[in-house]
Amino acid sequence: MSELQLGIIEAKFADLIWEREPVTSSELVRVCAERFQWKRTTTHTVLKRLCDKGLFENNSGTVTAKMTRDAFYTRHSRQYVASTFGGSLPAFLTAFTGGGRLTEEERVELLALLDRDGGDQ
Amino acid sequence: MSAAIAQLMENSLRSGLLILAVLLLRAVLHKLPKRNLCMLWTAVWLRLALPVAIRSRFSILPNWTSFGQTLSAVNDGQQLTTATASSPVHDMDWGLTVWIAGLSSVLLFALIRWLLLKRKVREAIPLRDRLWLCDWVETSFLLGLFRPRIYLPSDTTESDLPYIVAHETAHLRHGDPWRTLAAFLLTAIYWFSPLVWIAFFLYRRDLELACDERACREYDADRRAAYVDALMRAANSTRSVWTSSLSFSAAPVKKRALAVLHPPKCRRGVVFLAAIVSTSVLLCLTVEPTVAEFVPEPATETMEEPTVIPSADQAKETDLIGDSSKKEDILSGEDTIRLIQGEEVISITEFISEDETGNAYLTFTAERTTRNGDSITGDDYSEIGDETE
Repeated sequence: MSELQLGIIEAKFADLIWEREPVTSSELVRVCAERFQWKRTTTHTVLKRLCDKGLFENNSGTVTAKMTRDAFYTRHSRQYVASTFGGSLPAFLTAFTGGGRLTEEERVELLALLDRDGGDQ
Repeated sequence: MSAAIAQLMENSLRSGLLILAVLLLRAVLHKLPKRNLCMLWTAVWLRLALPVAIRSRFSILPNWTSFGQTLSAVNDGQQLTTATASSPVHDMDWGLTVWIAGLSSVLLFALIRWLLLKRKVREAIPLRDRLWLCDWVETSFLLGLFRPRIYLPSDTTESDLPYIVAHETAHLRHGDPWRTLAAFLLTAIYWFSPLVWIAFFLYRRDLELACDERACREYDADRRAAYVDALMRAANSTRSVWTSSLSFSAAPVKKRALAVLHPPKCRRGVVFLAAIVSTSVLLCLTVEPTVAEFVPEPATETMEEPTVIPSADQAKETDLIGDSSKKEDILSGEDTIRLIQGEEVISITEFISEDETGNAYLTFTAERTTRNGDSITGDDYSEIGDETE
């Protein structure tokens, strides 16, 4: 569960599953062979790796998701901010905006977000 | 040592000289298009692949063949002592064994590296044509001999793509995967020669530079700058595989960047001249002196004690003494045996002669001289044997 980073191709594979889950592993193999030209063993290898990371589950041939895509990317981002910005969201935002200014849209969205979160807490 | 190994070592000497020459020429002719410099290396690889001696009387080289023979003699001598000391099981050709061990190690190492690389790119996905993206590669490279694929890191910047592709395609046009493989096999065979390894590494560097040259041939300054950008970005890892992959960021990046940004201009005439000079130099270092044919000398034996041979005096007393007038034309070649006892040399010559009636005679003559060839006391020439055929 520690490493929630995915490679770009792994992420594409994960998307495939999230779009179709629950899906049989054989169906998954077929899709991967078609799109990625992956061998059966390769598909199984990557699937196992993602299951070990806690994203998916393979119960006797049926693949289900243990967390939604959004949930995953939230955790993923949190982990990224934690490891890169010492958990400081403001620091992350500064880096994200590149020290430049936010567009009007972004400001509005951000304020709405802060209000909502502030309200929840 | 088997003759093959001795020959191998001999050939590595020959090539070593050539490699040094190419290193020198490379340094001197660095303004030339790299494609031409690669031809110099081709001469080296051909030399290594064909252990044939080109001989001529006009040669400035020493005689390598004697080195090979000396090596063989040394090892044979070793073999003889061990063979007499122990059973024939221990009579091994050490030279051959060590060479095979070295060769196997090199090939095994390369094979393992290649297999690991293939495993890495198992999860690659096709992009288009022969381009593939992969999460686990640090730099883009070419892999495969028959249907080579270009593998790119999955996070390659879109704008860098055309430059990387141009570079790798240039490799394909030159036939570099095959060239590198051939060079590698030769390097494995001559694994014991450090010069060959140096040649191998420098050869691959020159191939890279030649590809940069070709890829950027039509580029203006802006595109060249973009090419260098792509190069820099790809240069985090300089892992190289020895066999059939050619990575985008092998070879020192700085040198390549400078070469792309400031391509050296070279006039046609200079290239032609350089070609002539190089060819002459290489030829001079390839042609070896003619080795005198080994002709067994007419039997010359030196003995501690002379065998029993009738002296001229004694010979006169036997029935075999013939008439010197019988000696006419000499029909066959002479055979001379020299017997040395102390300071005295007795030379006995045998030849066939024929008299006017057509009878052939086997004739012996004996001569007693000092070692210097001075004749001794009058008995210099007498026939001691004369048989009628």
